[in-house]
Amino acid sequence: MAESCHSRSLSWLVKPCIPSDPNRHFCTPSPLRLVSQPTTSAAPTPVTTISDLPDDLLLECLARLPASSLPSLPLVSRRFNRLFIFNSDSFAFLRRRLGLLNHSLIALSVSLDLSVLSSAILRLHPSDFNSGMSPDLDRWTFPLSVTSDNFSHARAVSTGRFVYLIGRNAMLRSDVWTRSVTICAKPVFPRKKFAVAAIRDRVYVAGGSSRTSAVEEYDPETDSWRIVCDAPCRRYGCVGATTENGIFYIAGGLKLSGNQNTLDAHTCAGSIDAYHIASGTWIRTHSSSITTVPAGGCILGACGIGDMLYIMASHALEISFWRWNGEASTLSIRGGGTNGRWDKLKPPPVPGQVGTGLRFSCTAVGPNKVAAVVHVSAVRGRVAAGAVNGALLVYDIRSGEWTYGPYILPESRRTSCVSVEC
Amino acid sequence: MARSSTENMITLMSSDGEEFMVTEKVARECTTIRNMLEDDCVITNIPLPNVTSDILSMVIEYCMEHVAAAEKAAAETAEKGSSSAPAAAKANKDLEEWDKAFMNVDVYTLCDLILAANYLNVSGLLDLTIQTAANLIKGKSPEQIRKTFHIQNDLSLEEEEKIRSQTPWAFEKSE
Repeated sequence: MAESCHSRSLSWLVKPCIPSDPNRHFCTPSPLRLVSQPTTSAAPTPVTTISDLPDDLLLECLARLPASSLPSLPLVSRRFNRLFIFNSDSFAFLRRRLGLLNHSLIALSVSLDLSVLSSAILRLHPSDFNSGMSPDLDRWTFPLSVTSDNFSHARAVSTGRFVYLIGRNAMLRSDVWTRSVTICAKPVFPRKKFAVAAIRDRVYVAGGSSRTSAVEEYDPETDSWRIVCDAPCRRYGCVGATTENGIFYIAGGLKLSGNQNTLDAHTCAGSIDAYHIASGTWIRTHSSSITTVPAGGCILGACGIGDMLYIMASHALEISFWRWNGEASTLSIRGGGTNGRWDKLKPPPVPGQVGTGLRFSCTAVGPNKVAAVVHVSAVRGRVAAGAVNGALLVYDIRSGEWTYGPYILPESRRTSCVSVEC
Repeated sequence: MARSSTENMITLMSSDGEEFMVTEKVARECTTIRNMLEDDCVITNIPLPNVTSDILSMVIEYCMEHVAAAEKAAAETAEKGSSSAPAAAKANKDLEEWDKAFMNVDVYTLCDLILAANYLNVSGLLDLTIQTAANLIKGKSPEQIRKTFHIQNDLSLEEEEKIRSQTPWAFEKSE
Protein backbone atom coordinates (compact mmCIF):
# COMPACT_ATOMS: atom_id res chain seq x y z
CA MET A 1 0.00 0.00 0.00
CA ALA A 2 2.61 2.44 1.08
CA GLU A 3 4.82 1.35 -1.76
CA SER A 4 2.19 1.91 -4.42
CA CYS A 5 1.53 5.42 -3.14
CA HIS A 6 5.19 6.09 -3.24
CA SER A 7 5.63 4.88 -6.78
CA ARG A 8 2.71 6.98 -7.97
CA SER A 9 4.05 10.15 -6.51
CA LEU A 10 7.46 9.28 -7.91
CA SER A 11 6.15 8.82 -11.43
CA TRP A 12 4.43 12.13 -11.02
CA LEU A 13 7.69 13.79 -10.07
CA VAL A 14 9.53 12.20 -12.96
CA LYS A 15 6.98 13.28 -15.54
CA PRO A 16 8.40 16.75 -16.22
CA CYS A 17 11.60 15.06 -17.41
CA ILE A 18 9.82 12.92 -19.98
CA PRO A 19 10.32 14.27 -23.53
CA SER A 20 7.53 16.44 -24.74
CA ASP A 21 4.22 14.80 -25.32
CA PRO A 22 2.91 15.24 -28.89
CA ASN A 23 -0.61 15.72 -27.50
CA ARG A 24 0.20 18.56 -25.21
CA HIS A 25 -1.98 21.59 -25.20
CA PHE A 26 -1.22 24.88 -26.79
CA CYS A 27 -3.05 27.87 -25.51
CA THR A 28 -4.14 30.04 -28.40
CA PRO A 29 -4.85 33.74 -28.06
CA SER A 30 -8.57 33.09 -28.33
CA PRO A 31 -9.07 31.21 -25.10
CA LEU A 32 -10.19 27.68 -25.74
CA ARG A 33 -11.50 25.64 -22.89
CA LEU A 34 -9.32 22.60 -22.99
CA VAL A 35 -11.03 19.29 -22.80
CA SER A 36 -9.11 17.46 -20.18
CA GLN A 37 -8.19 13.94 -21.05
CA PRO A 38 -9.38 11.30 -18.66
CA THR A 39 -6.50 10.71 -16.38
CA THR A 40 -5.28 7.20 -15.92
CA SER A 41 -5.47 7.29 -12.15
CA ALA A 42 -9.24 7.55 -11.89
CA ALA A 43 -9.34 8.14 -8.14
CA PRO A 44 -12.08 10.71 -7.50
CA THR A 45 -10.41 13.96 -6.57
CA PRO A 46 -11.86 15.33 -3.34
CA VAL A 47 -13.80 18.54 -3.90
CA THR A 48 -12.56 21.79 -2.47
CA THR A 49 -14.90 23.70 -0.20
CA ILE A 50 -14.55 26.92 1.68
CA SER A 51 -13.41 24.80 4.63
CA ASP A 52 -10.26 23.94 2.68
CA LEU A 53 -9.19 27.55 2.46
CA PRO A 54 -6.43 28.48 4.88
CA ASP A 55 -7.36 30.87 7.68
CA ASP A 56 -5.83 33.92 6.04
CA LEU A 57 -7.82 33.50 2.82
CA LEU A 58 -11.07 32.79 4.62
CA LEU A 59 -10.50 35.81 6.85
CA GLU A 60 -9.77 37.93 3.79
CA CYS A 61 -13.10 36.81 2.39
CA LEU A 62 -15.07 37.44 5.59
CA ALA A 63 -13.45 40.85 6.01
CA ARG A 64 -15.19 42.04 2.85
CA LEU A 65 -18.67 41.52 4.18
CA PRO A 66 -20.84 44.48 5.05
CA ALA A 67 -21.29 45.05 8.80
CA SER A 68 -24.85 43.75 8.63
CA SER A 69 -23.64 40.30 7.52
CA LEU A 70 -21.15 39.81 10.36
CA PRO A 71 -23.55 38.66 13.10
CA SER A 72 -24.38 35.47 11.15
CA LEU A 73 -20.80 34.30 11.05
CA PRO A 74 -20.22 32.82 14.54
CA LEU A 75 -23.15 30.44 14.05
CA VAL A 76 -21.94 28.93 10.80
CA SER A 77 -19.41 26.53 12.29
CA ARG A 78 -16.82 26.23 14.98
CA ARG A 79 -14.15 27.39 12.62
CA PHE A 80 -16.05 30.51 11.59
CA ASN A 81 -16.73 31.25 15.23
CA ARG A 82 -13.12 30.80 16.25
CA LEU A 83 -11.72 32.70 13.28
CA PHE A 84 -14.00 35.58 13.77
CA ILE A 85 -13.65 35.83 17.54
CA PHE A 86 -9.92 35.27 17.89
CA ASN A 87 -8.60 37.27 14.98
CA SER A 88 -9.95 40.67 15.94
CA ASP A 89 -6.75 42.47 15.09
CA SER A 90 -6.13 40.98 11.66
CA PHE A 91 -9.82 41.22 10.86
CA ALA A 92 -9.85 44.89 11.82
CA PHE A 93 -6.67 45.45 9.83
CA LEU A 94 -8.18 43.92 6.68
CA ARG A 95 -11.41 45.85 7.03
CA ARG A 96 -9.56 49.11 7.62
CA ARG A 97 -7.52 48.49 4.47
CA LEU A 98 -10.71 47.87 2.50
CA GLY A 99 -12.19 51.10 3.85
CA LEU A 100 -14.92 49.20 5.69
CA LEU A 101 -14.08 50.59 9.11
CA ASN A 102 -15.09 54.07 10.11
CA HIS A 103 -14.69 55.93 13.34
CA SER A 104 -18.21 55.81 14.65
CA LEU A 105 -20.05 56.89 17.71
CA ILE A 106 -21.98 54.28 19.64
CA ALA A 107 -24.59 55.31 22.15
CA LEU A 108 -25.84 52.89 24.80
CA SER A 109 -28.70 53.14 27.19
CA VAL A 110 -30.40 50.70 29.53
CA SER A 111 -34.13 51.24 29.99
CA LEU A 112 -35.36 52.20 33.44
CA ASP A 113 -36.98 48.81 34.01
CA LEU A 114 -33.66 47.17 33.05
CA SER A 115 -35.32 45.10 30.35
CA VAL A 116 -33.69 46.50 27.25
CA LEU A 117 -30.27 47.72 26.21
CA SER A 118 -30.61 50.14 23.33
CA SER A 119 -27.66 50.79 21.07
CA ALA A 120 -27.18 53.06 18.12
CA ILE A 121 -24.21 53.58 15.89
CA LEU A 122 -23.69 56.86 14.15
CA ARG A 123 -21.07 56.87 11.44
CA LEU A 124 -19.53 60.29 11.45
CA HIS A 125 -18.79 60.83 7.80
CA PRO A 126 -17.24 64.28 7.78
CA SER A 127 -19.02 65.35 4.60
CA ASP A 128 -22.65 64.43 5.16
CA PHE A 129 -22.57 65.12 8.87
CA ASN A 130 -21.80 68.78 8.30
CA SER A 131 -24.07 69.20 5.32
CA GLY A 132 -27.10 68.34 7.45
CA MET A 133 -27.95 65.23 5.47
CA SER A 134 -29.85 62.52 7.24
CA PRO A 135 -27.32 60.69 9.36
CA ASP A 136 -26.31 57.12 8.80
CA LEU A 137 -27.89 55.70 11.95
CA ASP A 138 -28.04 52.08 12.87
CA ARG A 139 -30.12 51.17 15.92
CA TRP A 140 -30.77 47.89 17.67
CA THR A 141 -31.99 46.71 21.03
CA PHE A 142 -31.09 43.80 23.22
CA PRO A 143 -33.42 42.23 25.78
CA LEU A 144 -31.66 42.08 29.11
CA SER A 145 -32.04 39.71 31.98
CA VAL A 146 -30.18 41.76 34.58
CA THR A 147 -32.08 42.34 37.73
CA SER A 148 -31.62 44.65 40.66
CA ASP A 149 -28.98 46.89 39.23
CA ASN A 150 -28.69 50.50 38.50
CA PHE A 151 -27.49 51.67 35.14
CA SER A 152 -28.71 55.19 35.68
CA HIS A 153 -25.20 56.55 35.96
CA ALA A 154 -23.51 53.90 33.87
CA ARG A 155 -20.22 54.66 32.15
CA ALA A 156 -19.22 53.31 28.77
CA VAL A 157 -15.77 52.55 27.43
CA SER A 158 -14.51 50.73 24.36
CA THR A 159 -11.53 48.57 23.47
CA GLY A 160 -11.39 47.49 19.85
CA ARG A 161 -14.66 45.81 18.89
CA PHE A 162 -15.98 45.67 22.45
CA VAL A 163 -17.98 48.27 24.28
CA TYR A 164 -18.36 47.94 28.04
CA LEU A 165 -21.23 49.51 29.90
CA ILE A 166 -20.50 49.58 33.61
CA GLY A 167 -23.34 50.14 36.04
CA ARG A 168 -23.32 50.30 39.80
CA ASN A 169 -23.29 46.57 40.22
CA ALA A 170 -22.98 44.99 36.81
CA MET A 171 -21.05 45.20 33.61
CA LEU A 172 -22.28 44.44 30.10
CA ARG A 173 -20.07 43.86 27.12
CA SER A 174 -21.37 44.53 23.66
CA ASP A 175 -19.57 43.33 20.57
CA VAL A 176 -20.13 45.87 17.80
CA TRP A 177 -19.38 43.33 15.08
CA THR A 178 -21.66 40.50 16.09
CA ARG A 179 -23.90 42.81 18.15
CA SER A 180 -23.91 40.23 20.85
CA VAL A 181 -24.16 41.20 24.49
CA THR A 182 -22.60 39.31 27.38
CA ILE A 183 -22.70 39.92 31.08
CA CYS A 184 -19.21 40.26 32.52
CA ALA A 185 -17.68 40.35 35.95
CA LYS A 186 -18.48 43.54 37.85
CA PRO A 187 -15.94 45.74 39.61
CA VAL A 188 -15.02 44.75 43.16
CA PHE A 189 -16.58 47.91 44.62
CA PRO A 190 -19.96 49.22 43.55
CA ARG A 191 -19.47 52.62 41.93
CA LYS A 192 -21.63 55.43 40.69
CA LYS A 193 -20.52 58.53 38.79
CA PHE A 194 -16.99 57.19 38.50
CA ALA A 195 -14.08 57.59 36.10
CA VAL A 196 -13.40 54.97 33.44
CA ALA A 197 -10.82 54.54 30.69
CA ALA A 198 -9.50 51.75 28.49
CA ILE A 199 -5.75 51.47 28.15
CA ARG A 200 -4.06 48.71 26.17
CA ASP A 201 -7.17 46.53 25.98
CA ARG A 202 -7.83 46.74 29.70
CA VAL A 203 -10.48 48.74 31.48
CA TYR A 204 -9.74 50.95 34.50
CA VAL A 205 -12.18 52.45 36.95
CA ALA A 206 -11.63 54.88 39.81
CA GLY A 207 -13.74 56.99 42.14
CA GLY A 208 -17.49 56.99 42.54
CA SER A 209 -17.49 55.27 45.89
CA SER A 210 -17.44 56.63 49.42
CA ARG A 211 -15.99 53.38 50.72
CA THR A 212 -12.81 53.06 48.71
CA SER A 213 -10.16 54.95 46.83
CA ALA A 214 -9.10 51.80 44.95
CA VAL A 215 -8.34 51.93 41.25
CA GLU A 216 -9.45 48.71 39.59
CA GLU A 217 -8.32 46.99 36.42
CA TYR A 218 -10.38 44.62 34.28
CA ASP A 219 -8.69 41.94 32.22
CA PRO A 220 -11.03 40.78 29.42
CA GLU A 221 -9.07 37.58 28.93
CA THR A 222 -9.79 36.28 32.38
CA ASP A 223 -13.00 38.28 32.86
CA SER A 224 -11.80 39.47 36.25
CA TRP A 225 -11.17 42.68 38.15
CA ARG A 226 -8.26 43.40 40.44
CA ILE A 227 -7.28 46.35 42.56
CA VAL A 228 -4.28 48.15 41.12
CA CYS A 229 -3.59 50.90 43.63
CA ASP A 230 -5.19 53.57 45.77
CA ALA A 231 -6.01 56.97 44.35
CA PRO A 232 -4.72 60.08 46.13
CA CYS A 233 -8.30 61.01 46.92
CA ARG A 234 -11.79 59.56 46.81
CA ARG A 235 -13.63 61.38 44.08
CA TYR A 236 -17.35 61.18 43.55
CA GLY A 237 -18.92 62.42 40.33
CA CYS A 238 -15.62 62.39 38.50
CA VAL A 239 -14.97 61.63 34.84
CA GLY A 240 -12.21 59.53 33.28
CA ALA A 241 -10.10 59.94 30.18
CA THR A 242 -6.92 58.60 28.68
CA THR A 243 -4.30 59.92 26.30
CA GLU A 244 -1.90 58.18 23.95
CA ASN A 245 0.84 58.03 26.56
CA GLY A 246 -1.15 55.51 28.62
CA ILE A 247 -2.20 57.82 31.44
CA PHE A 248 -5.51 57.39 33.23
CA TYR A 249 -6.89 60.82 34.13
CA ILE A 250 -9.45 61.08 36.90
CA ALA A 251 -10.96 64.52 36.68
CA GLY A 252 -13.22 66.65 38.84
CA GLY A 253 -15.94 65.51 41.16
CA LEU A 254 -16.20 65.93 44.89
CA LYS A 255 -13.43 64.92 47.21
CA LEU A 256 -14.73 62.72 49.97
CA SER A 257 -12.93 62.34 53.25
CA GLY A 258 -13.61 60.76 56.60
CA ASN A 259 -15.48 57.56 57.17
CA GLN A 260 -18.95 56.67 56.04
CA ASN A 261 -20.63 58.10 59.12
CA THR A 262 -18.95 61.47 59.06
CA LEU A 263 -18.43 61.97 55.38
CA ASP A 264 -17.13 65.34 54.30
CA ALA A 265 -17.33 66.49 50.75
CA HIS A 266 -14.93 69.07 49.41
CA THR A 267 -15.06 70.35 45.92
CA CYS A 268 -12.18 69.25 43.78
CA ALA A 269 -12.28 72.59 42.03
CA GLY A 270 -11.41 71.14 38.68
CA SER A 271 -8.34 69.23 39.79
CA ILE A 272 -7.17 66.19 37.85
CA ASP A 273 -5.33 63.10 39.08
CA ALA A 274 -3.13 61.23 36.65
CA TYR A 275 -1.99 57.63 36.92
CA HIS A 276 0.58 56.21 34.56
CA ILE A 277 -0.52 52.62 34.03
CA ALA A 278 2.70 51.13 32.64
CA SER A 279 4.94 52.41 35.44
CA GLY A 280 2.26 52.27 38.12
CA THR A 281 2.91 55.82 39.32
CA TRP A 282 0.75 58.78 40.20
CA ILE A 283 2.01 61.91 38.54
CA ARG A 284 2.02 64.72 41.06
CA THR A 285 2.96 68.35 41.15
CA HIS A 286 3.07 70.39 44.35
CA SER A 287 -0.39 69.02 45.14
CA SER A 288 -1.54 65.44 44.85
CA SER A 289 -3.07 66.10 41.45
CA ILE A 290 -1.29 66.75 38.18
CA THR A 291 -3.10 69.92 37.18
CA THR A 292 -6.22 71.99 37.70
CA VAL A 293 -8.51 73.48 35.10
CA PRO A 294 -7.80 77.24 34.91
CA ALA A 295 -10.29 79.18 37.00
CA GLY A 296 -11.44 75.94 38.62
CA GLY A 297 -15.05 75.05 38.20
CA CYS A 298 -16.83 71.78 38.04
CA ILE A 299 -15.65 69.24 35.45
CA LEU A 300 -18.56 67.99 33.35
CA GLY A 301 -16.87 65.77 30.80
CA ALA A 302 -13.43 64.76 29.53
CA CYS A 303 -11.76 62.79 26.77
CA GLY A 304 -8.29 62.39 25.30
CA ILE A 305 -7.09 62.58 21.72
CA GLY A 306 -3.43 61.92 21.04
CA ASP A 307 -1.49 63.73 23.77
CA MET A 308 -4.29 66.20 24.39
CA LEU A 309 -6.87 66.13 27.11
CA TYR A 310 -10.19 67.86 26.37
CA ILE A 311 -12.20 69.03 29.34
CA MET A 312 -15.62 70.60 29.71
CA ALA A 313 -16.09 72.61 32.88
CA SER A 314 -18.71 74.89 34.28
CA HIS A 315 -18.83 78.00 36.43
CA ALA A 316 -22.34 78.46 37.63
CA LEU A 317 -24.25 78.84 34.36
CA GLU A 318 -21.31 79.21 32.00
CA ILE A 319 -19.73 76.24 30.27
CA SER A 320 -16.13 76.34 29.13
CA PHE A 321 -14.14 73.97 26.98
CA TRP A 322 -10.43 73.43 27.52
CA ARG A 323 -7.52 71.58 26.03
CA TRP A 324 -4.58 70.50 28.09
CA ASN A 325 -1.33 69.43 26.51
CA GLY A 326 -0.60 66.21 28.33
CA GLU A 327 2.85 65.87 26.82
CA ALA A 328 4.06 67.43 30.01
CA SER A 329 2.88 64.41 31.95
CA THR A 330 5.06 62.18 29.79
CA LEU A 331 8.00 64.38 30.68
CA SER A 332 7.18 64.28 34.35
CA ILE A 333 7.23 60.47 34.32
CA ARG A 334 10.85 60.81 33.28
CA GLY A 335 11.44 63.27 36.10
CA GLY A 336 10.86 66.56 34.32
CA GLY A 337 8.50 69.30 35.39
CA THR A 338 4.82 69.35 34.69
CA ASN A 339 4.00 72.62 33.11
CA GLY A 340 1.33 71.47 30.73
CA ARG A 341 -0.38 74.25 28.83
CA TRP A 342 -4.11 75.00 28.95
CA ASP A 343 -5.87 76.42 25.89
CA LYS A 344 -9.35 77.83 26.05
CA LEU A 345 -11.51 76.58 23.16
CA LYS A 346 -14.90 77.57 21.83
CA PRO A 347 -17.52 76.46 24.35
CA PRO A 348 -20.24 74.02 23.29
CA PRO A 349 -23.51 75.69 22.26
CA VAL A 350 -25.69 73.84 24.76
CA PRO A 351 -29.31 74.27 23.78
CA GLY A 352 -31.83 75.35 26.36
CA GLN A 353 -31.18 76.57 29.84
CA VAL A 354 -27.98 75.46 31.47
CA GLY A 355 -28.71 74.12 34.87
CA THR A 356 -26.55 72.63 37.57
CA GLY A 357 -27.55 69.07 36.72
CA LEU A 358 -25.72 69.14 33.43
CA ARG A 359 -23.12 66.55 32.45
CA PHE A 360 -21.55 65.39 29.20
CA SER A 361 -20.65 61.93 28.08
CA CYS A 362 -17.57 62.84 26.06
CA THR A 363 -15.58 60.72 23.67
CA ALA A 364 -12.97 61.19 21.00
CA VAL A 365 -14.18 59.99 17.60
CA GLY A 366 -11.22 59.41 15.32
CA PRO A 367 -8.25 61.74 15.37
CA ASN A 368 -10.08 65.04 15.09
CA LYS A 369 -13.52 64.98 16.66
CA VAL A 370 -14.86 65.26 20.16
CA ALA A 371 -18.42 64.05 20.60
CA ALA A 372 -20.47 64.93 23.65
CA VAL A 373 -23.93 63.72 24.59
CA VAL A 374 -25.71 66.06 26.99
CA HIS A 375 -27.16 64.62 30.19
CA VAL A 376 -29.52 66.63 32.27
CA SER A 377 -30.41 65.26 35.63
CA ALA A 378 -33.16 66.59 37.79
CA VAL A 379 -31.97 68.91 40.54
CA ARG A 380 -34.27 68.76 43.55
CA GLY A 381 -36.89 67.07 41.40
CA ARG A 382 -36.77 69.77 38.74
CA VAL A 383 -35.24 69.36 35.32
CA ALA A 384 -33.85 72.52 33.80
CA ALA A 385 -36.10 74.00 31.15
CA GLY A 386 -35.38 73.27 27.51
CA ALA A 387 -35.23 69.62 26.56
CA VAL A 388 -31.58 69.14 25.77
CA ASN A 389 -31.22 65.73 27.31
CA GLY A 390 -29.58 63.33 24.87
CA ALA A 391 -28.52 66.07 22.45
CA LEU A 392 -25.34 65.31 20.58
CA LEU A 393 -22.69 67.93 20.01
CA VAL A 394 -19.63 67.35 17.88
CA TYR A 395 -16.49 69.47 17.97
CA ASP A 396 -14.16 69.44 15.01
CA ILE A 397 -10.60 70.02 16.19
CA ARG A 398 -9.34 71.32 12.85
CA SER A 399 -12.03 73.91 12.33
CA GLY A 400 -12.59 74.60 16.01
CA GLU A 401 -16.36 74.55 15.45
CA TRP A 402 -19.23 72.74 17.12
CA THR A 403 -22.02 71.08 15.17
CA TYR A 404 -25.32 69.66 16.35
CA GLY A 405 -25.78 66.00 15.74
CA PRO A 406 -29.00 64.03 15.70
CA TYR A 407 -30.59 62.66 18.85
CA ILE A 408 -29.16 59.21 18.48
CA LEU A 409 -31.28 57.51 21.10
CA PRO A 410 -34.18 59.92 21.35
CA GLU A 411 -36.33 57.74 23.57
CA SER A 412 -33.59 57.03 26.09
CA ARG A 413 -32.33 59.02 29.00
CA ARG A 414 -28.81 58.95 30.31
CA THR A 415 -27.19 57.80 27.14
CA SER A 416 -23.50 56.94 27.37
CA CYS A 417 -21.45 57.29 24.26
CA VAL A 418 -18.09 55.95 23.16
CA SER A 419 -16.19 55.74 19.94
CA VAL A 420 -15.73 52.49 18.05
CA GLU A 421 -14.34 51.52 14.69
CA CYS A 422 -16.95 49.57 12.80
CA MET B 1 -2.97 39.89 -33.23
CA ALA B 2 -0.05 37.96 -34.61
CA ARG B 3 2.38 36.97 -31.98
CA SER B 4 6.03 37.44 -32.74
CA SER B 5 7.72 34.14 -33.23
CA THR B 6 10.51 35.22 -30.94
CA GLU B 7 8.15 35.38 -27.97
CA ASN B 8 9.15 32.87 -25.35
CA MET B 9 6.77 30.04 -24.72
CA ILE B 10 6.55 28.48 -21.30
CA THR B 11 5.13 25.11 -20.49
CA LEU B 12 3.05 24.89 -17.33
CA MET B 13 2.30 21.47 -16.03
CA SER B 14 -0.74 20.78 -13.87
CA SER B 15 -0.83 18.34 -10.97
CA ASP B 16 -2.50 15.71 -13.15
CA GLY B 17 0.26 15.91 -15.72
CA GLU B 18 -1.32 18.02 -18.43
CA GLU B 19 0.84 20.56 -20.14
CA PHE B 20 -0.17 24.04 -21.18
CA MET B 21 1.95 26.18 -23.44
CA VAL B 22 1.57 29.87 -22.82
CA THR B 23 3.47 32.96 -23.80
CA GLU B 24 5.89 34.27 -21.25
CA LYS B 25 3.77 37.39 -20.98
CA VAL B 26 0.73 35.40 -19.88
CA ALA B 27 2.80 33.30 -17.49
CA ARG B 28 4.20 36.46 -15.93
CA GLU B 29 0.71 37.43 -14.81
CA CYS B 30 1.31 34.87 -12.08
CA THR B 31 3.70 36.53 -9.65
CA THR B 32 4.90 33.14 -8.47
CA ILE B 33 5.98 32.22 -12.02
CA ARG B 34 7.36 35.68 -12.68
CA ASN B 35 9.62 35.30 -9.67
CA MET B 36 10.76 31.91 -10.92
CA LEU B 37 11.52 33.36 -14.35
CA GLU B 38 13.43 36.23 -12.85
CA ASP B 39 15.50 33.89 -10.73
CA ASP B 40 16.28 31.61 -13.64
CA CYS B 41 15.57 32.95 -17.10
CA VAL B 42 16.19 29.72 -19.02
CA ILE B 43 13.39 27.87 -17.33
CA THR B 44 10.74 26.75 -19.84
CA ASN B 45 8.93 23.97 -18.08
CA ILE B 46 7.22 24.69 -14.78
CA PRO B 47 5.46 21.95 -12.81
CA LEU B 48 2.59 23.26 -10.71
CA PRO B 49 1.85 20.41 -8.31
CA ASN B 50 -0.92 22.33 -6.49
CA VAL B 51 -3.13 23.10 -9.49
CA THR B 52 -5.27 20.66 -11.45
CA SER B 53 -5.62 20.96 -15.23
CA ASP B 54 -9.24 22.16 -15.02
CA ILE B 55 -8.31 24.98 -12.71
CA LEU B 56 -5.03 25.79 -14.42
CA SER B 57 -6.81 26.18 -17.75
CA MET B 58 -9.18 28.66 -16.10
CA VAL B 59 -6.33 30.61 -14.52
CA ILE B 60 -4.62 30.77 -17.92
CA GLU B 61 -7.87 31.86 -19.53
CA TYR B 62 -8.13 34.67 -17.01
CA CYS B 63 -4.51 35.76 -17.50
CA MET B 64 -4.83 35.67 -21.30
CA GLU B 65 -7.95 37.80 -21.25
CA HIS B 66 -6.34 40.35 -18.98
CA VAL B 67 -3.09 40.44 -20.95
CA ALA B 68 -5.07 40.86 -24.18
CA ALA B 69 -7.09 43.70 -22.66
CA ALA B 70 -3.95 45.45 -21.44
CA GLU B 71 -2.30 45.01 -24.86
CA LYS B 72 -5.34 46.37 -26.64
CA ALA B 73 -5.42 49.41 -24.39
CA ALA B 74 -1.69 49.98 -24.90
CA ALA B 75 -2.05 49.65 -28.68
CA GLU B 76 -4.91 52.16 -28.76
CA THR B 77 -2.91 54.61 -26.69
CA ALA B 78 0.05 54.26 -29.05
CA GLU B 79 -2.16 54.73 -32.12
CA LYS B 80 -3.99 57.84 -31.02
CA GLY B 81 -1.19 59.32 -28.99
CA SER B 82 -3.43 59.46 -25.97
CA SER B 83 -6.07 57.17 -24.66
CA SER B 84 -9.62 58.42 -25.01
CA ALA B 85 -11.41 58.29 -21.71
CA PRO B 86 -14.74 56.85 -22.98
CA ALA B 87 -12.97 54.07 -24.85
CA ALA B 88 -10.92 53.19 -21.81
CA ALA B 89 -14.03 53.20 -19.65
CA LYS B 90 -15.78 50.92 -22.12
CA ALA B 91 -12.81 48.56 -22.22
CA ASN B 92 -12.81 48.48 -18.42
CA LYS B 93 -16.50 47.77 -18.37
CA ASP B 94 -16.10 44.99 -20.93
CA LEU B 95 -13.38 43.42 -18.84
CA GLU B 96 -15.55 43.68 -15.74
CA GLU B 97 -18.38 42.00 -17.61
CA TRP B 98 -16.00 39.31 -18.72
CA ASP B 99 -14.82 38.82 -15.11
CA LYS B 100 -18.40 38.57 -13.98
CA ALA B 101 -19.22 35.92 -16.57
CA PHE B 102 -15.99 34.14 -15.73
CA MET B 103 -17.08 33.91 -12.09
CA ASN B 104 -20.21 31.99 -13.04
CA VAL B 105 -18.86 28.79 -11.50
CA ASP B 106 -19.91 26.46 -8.71
CA VAL B 107 -18.56 26.99 -5.21
CA TYR B 108 -16.12 24.08 -5.43
CA THR B 109 -14.49 25.55 -8.52
CA LEU B 110 -14.56 28.97 -6.88
CA CYS B 111 -12.66 27.67 -3.84
CA ASP B 112 -10.20 25.85 -6.11
CA LEU B 113 -9.68 29.08 -8.00
CA ILE B 114 -9.05 31.00 -4.78
CA LEU B 115 -6.40 28.49 -3.76
CA ALA B 116 -4.82 28.51 -7.24
CA ALA B 117 -4.86 32.32 -7.47
CA ASN B 118 -3.26 32.48 -4.06
CA TYR B 119 -0.63 29.86 -4.91
CA LEU B 120 0.20 31.37 -8.28
CA ASN B 121 -0.19 34.84 -6.80
CA VAL B 122 -2.46 36.32 -9.47
CA SER B 123 -3.60 39.33 -7.48
CA GLY B 124 -6.44 40.33 -9.81
CA LEU B 125 -7.91 36.84 -9.84
CA LEU B 126 -7.48 36.43 -6.09
CA ASP B 127 -9.32 39.67 -5.50
CA LEU B 128 -12.07 38.68 -7.93
CA THR B 129 -12.60 35.21 -6.49
CA ILE B 130 -12.51 36.32 -2.86
CA GLN B 131 -14.97 39.10 -3.56
CA THR B 132 -17.21 36.60 -5.36
CA ALA B 133 -17.12 34.28 -2.34
CA ALA B 134 -17.87 37.23 -0.04
CA ASN B 135 -20.85 38.17 -2.24
CA LEU B 136 -22.17 34.64 -1.78
CA ILE B 137 -22.02 35.00 2.01
CA LYS B 138 -23.46 38.51 2.11
CA GLY B 139 -26.92 38.83 3.62
CA LYS B 140 -27.34 35.12 4.32
CA SER B 141 -28.40 33.40 7.53
CA PRO B 142 -25.97 30.90 9.11
CA GLU B 143 -28.02 28.02 7.66
CA GLN B 144 -27.96 29.53 4.19
CA ILE B 145 -24.21 30.08 4.38
CA ARG B 146 -23.70 26.46 5.40
CA LYS B 147 -25.89 25.26 2.56
CA THR B 148 -24.20 27.48 -0.04
CA PHE B 149 -20.72 26.33 0.85
CA HIS B 150 -21.54 22.80 1.99
CA ILE B 151 -20.18 23.43 5.46
CA GLN B 152 -20.81 20.93 8.22
CA ASN B 153 -22.33 22.47 11.34
CA ASP B 154 -19.98 21.19 14.01
CA LEU B 155 -21.17 23.48 16.79
CA SER B 156 -22.51 21.56 19.74
CA LEU B 157 -26.02 22.34 20.94
CA GLU B 158 -24.64 24.15 23.98
CA GLU B 159 -22.28 26.24 21.89
CA GLU B 160 -25.05 27.16 19.49
CA GLU B 161 -27.40 27.97 22.35
CA LYS B 162 -24.79 30.20 23.94
CA ILE B 163 -24.16 32.17 20.77
CA ARG B 164 -27.89 32.48 20.12
CA SER B 165 -28.56 33.75 23.62
CA GLN B 166 -25.98 36.49 23.09
CA THR B 167 -27.53 37.63 19.82
CA PRO B 168 -31.27 36.98 20.15
CA TRP B 169 -32.22 39.83 17.83
CA ALA B 170 -30.33 38.18 14.98
CA PHE B 171 -33.01 35.54 14.64
CA GLU B 172 -35.98 37.80 14.54
CA LYS B 173 -37.39 38.33 11.12
CA SER B 174 -36.08 41.53 9.69
CA GLU B 175 -38.76 43.75 8.32
